[in-house]
Amino acid sequence: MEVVQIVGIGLVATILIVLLRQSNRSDFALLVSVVTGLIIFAMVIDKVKYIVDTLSNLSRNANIEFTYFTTILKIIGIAYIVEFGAQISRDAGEEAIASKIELGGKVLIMVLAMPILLALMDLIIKILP
Amino acid sequence: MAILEFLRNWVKDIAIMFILLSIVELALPNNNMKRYVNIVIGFMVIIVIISPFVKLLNKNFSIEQEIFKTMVDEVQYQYDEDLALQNLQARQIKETYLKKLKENIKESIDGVLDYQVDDIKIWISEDDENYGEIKDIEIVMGEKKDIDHYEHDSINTIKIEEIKIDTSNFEVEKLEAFEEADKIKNILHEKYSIPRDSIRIFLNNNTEEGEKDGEDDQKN
Repeated sequence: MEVVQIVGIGLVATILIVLLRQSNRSDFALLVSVVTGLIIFAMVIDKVKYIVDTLSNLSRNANIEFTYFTTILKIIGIAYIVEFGAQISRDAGEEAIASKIELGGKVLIMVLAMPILLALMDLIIKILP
Repeated sequence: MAILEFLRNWVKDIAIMFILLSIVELALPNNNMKRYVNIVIGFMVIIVIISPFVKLLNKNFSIEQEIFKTMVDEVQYQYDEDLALQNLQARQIKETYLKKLKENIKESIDGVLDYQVDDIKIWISEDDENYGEIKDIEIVMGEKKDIDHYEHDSINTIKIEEIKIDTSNFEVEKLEAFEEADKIKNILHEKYSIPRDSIRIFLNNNTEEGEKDGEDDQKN
């Protein structure tokens, strides 16, 4: 039934926001959308934990090095958080801020990817005779 | 047969990798962040596919150690001003690395012998050239304890006269060199290419059978 709850919260928030916008209170509309996002996120966070735990157990059983997997999980987390922030800015009409947030997220993802990239370069160079 | 085993592990790794990645890709948010995640995933696929060949060509190479090294470098680069934080991070990375190493070693020993690993101490080298290489390793082995056996024996095992407070020795445990040590040394030497001299293995014999197996010269 959690799907119904989540969709319900979303619809109620949407109607509220539309009403607020019509009466020219878009500052409150923004707050409502932020809070709705946080509530929906909090509702699914324990399920996300379950999924992540299962996946990490699986990757531990297989011989796959754990470092890679944590890196990928971190990158997905960054992507989600950045998207959350950027969409809110975009809703408020601040396209410039949204793209700056995305820029920050991209840089952080690249920093996380660097060790893997360097390791790959090393690997290739070591393979060559 | 070794080739068959190699192929089996390789194919298994690749298959599980792709299953995991398909789930991961399902979890991606669908905006232009996806491109960046896909690049990293691509790197990982390449690494998983070609890393067995590198191990075939030069056995000394560990990709884990490589990543560990660059992670330490990056930490030093990021927090150049803040020395305390830098030390803390470096220490945490080192601890995680050691923990993983210990788990690995424990797994590779536990299956082979009738003894179980009680404690492992590892010293790694910290100079820039070969950061993360194992310098010294000390393993304390103990009798394998079945639960029934343990309960049956527990009254015999706890003897009051065994408790001595020895101020001259740093280690209070009674440690003895032990016969199967060579076997373990061979395993570790093959798998992690640690020089045989820097592996020390002791038998922690506070059960009676242990004393029979161990040799008499006491080492610390």
